Amino acid sequence: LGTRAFQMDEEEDLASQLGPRTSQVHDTDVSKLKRAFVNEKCAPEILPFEFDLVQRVVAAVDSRESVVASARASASTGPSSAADDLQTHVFQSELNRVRFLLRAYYRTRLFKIENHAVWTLKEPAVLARLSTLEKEYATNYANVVEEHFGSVLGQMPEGYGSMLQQIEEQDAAWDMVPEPNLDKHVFCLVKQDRGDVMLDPDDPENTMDLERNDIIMIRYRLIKTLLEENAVDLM
Amino acid sequence: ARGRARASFGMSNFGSKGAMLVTDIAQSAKGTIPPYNDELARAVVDEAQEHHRSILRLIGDIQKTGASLDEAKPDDAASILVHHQAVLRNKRALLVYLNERMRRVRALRWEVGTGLPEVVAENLSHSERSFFTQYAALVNKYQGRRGGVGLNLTLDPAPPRDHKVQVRVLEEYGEVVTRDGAVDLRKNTVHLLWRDDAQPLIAEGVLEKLDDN
Repeated sequence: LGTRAFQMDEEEDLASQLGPRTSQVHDTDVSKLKRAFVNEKCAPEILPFEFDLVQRVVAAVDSRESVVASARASASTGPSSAADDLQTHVFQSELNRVRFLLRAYYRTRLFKIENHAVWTLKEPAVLARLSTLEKEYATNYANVVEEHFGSVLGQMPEGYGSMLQQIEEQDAAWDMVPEPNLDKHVFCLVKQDRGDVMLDPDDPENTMDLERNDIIMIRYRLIKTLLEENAVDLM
Repeated sequence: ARGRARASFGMSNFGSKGAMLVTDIAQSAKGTIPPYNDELARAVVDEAQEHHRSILRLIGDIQKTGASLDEAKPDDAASILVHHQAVLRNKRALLVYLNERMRRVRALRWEVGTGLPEVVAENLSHSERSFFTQYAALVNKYQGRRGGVGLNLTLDPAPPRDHKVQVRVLEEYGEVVTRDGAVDLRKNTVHLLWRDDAQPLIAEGVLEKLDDN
C-alpha cells in the first residue's frame, strides 16, 4: 500500500509537469534552431551566433547519420522489418529538415555579413556576434570587394578613391559605410509576461502591455533588447 | 553668355553620363548581367578627372591673387563646390553600377556553382571575373570540412519535402555514382534520386524536377 501511494504521487508529479509547461519540457535543440533561424531571417541586423546550440545539433546530426547509414547497409544485405524501414525513412526525413535549418541559418548570416561587411567589422558590438569563421569570412570578403572596387576607384582623382569616405579626410567619419536599417518593422511573438513596458525612449509615456502570446508589429529597434533577453521571438 | 560658358567647359551636362551608367544596370532584367559598359564607365571616370582639374585650376587662380581659400569670392567658392559635388556624383554612379553588378555576380556562385558559364563570363569585366573567382573560393572555404562549417550551403534553397525526387534528364550527362550505385543519365529518362544527389544537377539545368501533382 505504501509503495502504491508513492507511485501515485510520482505519477501526479509527472502529469503536472507535462501539463501547461509541456512546451518548455519538450523544447528540443531542433526547435531552438528553428527559432534561431526564423529570428535571424526576420531581424535586420545580425544576431549573436548560437555556438553551443549549433555544435550540439551538428553532433546529433552526425551520430544520426551513421545510424541511418548502417541501418541502410544492413537492410541492403539482410532482411529488415517494415518497422525498421519506416524508422530509417523517418530519421532520413528528419535529417533532411535539420540540415536545411543549419544551411539556412548559416546562409542568412553570411548574406547579412556580405551586405554590411565594413560596418560589421568596424562595430565591436556587432563583430562580437560573429563566429570565428564568420569573422574570417567578413574580413576576407571586405578585402575582395575593396580590390574589385579599387580597380575603378583607383582611377578617380586624388582624394576621391576611397571606398569608405566620399572624400578622404583625416579624422572624418566614414560616410560611405552602409548599415542595417534597425527601424524596419517586424512581427513579434511575446514569450513572457512583462506587464507595462516602456519601449520607446523618445516617447516614454507611451507604454505597451506585453503579455505572453501577444503578437505585435513594431519597429525592430524598440524590441531589440527584448529579443536579446529572449522575451520575444520574431515571426 | 550661355554660349561662352559651354565653350569654356566643353562637355556634357554634369552628371548625365553617370545617370546613363546607372540606367544601364537599372533597366536590365534582375537575374541577368549585361555586358560591362567599359566605355561609359571610363567616360564617367574621365569626367571626374576633368572636374578635378577644374577645381585645381580654380584654387590656383585664387592663390595667384594672393588670397587664401577662406577669403575666396562666393562665385569662386561656388564653382569649386559644384565641381567637387560633380565628382562625388560620378563616384556614386560608378559605385551603384559596380555594386549592383557585384550583387548579381555573387548570386551566380549560389545558383550556378564555381564554374562560370562562358556566356556570362564574357559580359563581365576582368576585375569582375577576378572577383567571382575570389568570392567563390571564399564560399568554398567557409563550406569546407577543414577550416569551415562542413556543410554545402548551396543545397536546400527551400525546405525539403521528400528525400527522394523524381527527375527527368534534360541533357545527356552520362553515368553518375550515387549512394545507391551508378545511374546512367540518358537524355529524357526519368529517375528517382536522392535529393542531395539531384539538387546540384537540377541547379545546373541537367535535370528537371518532376512534381508529384
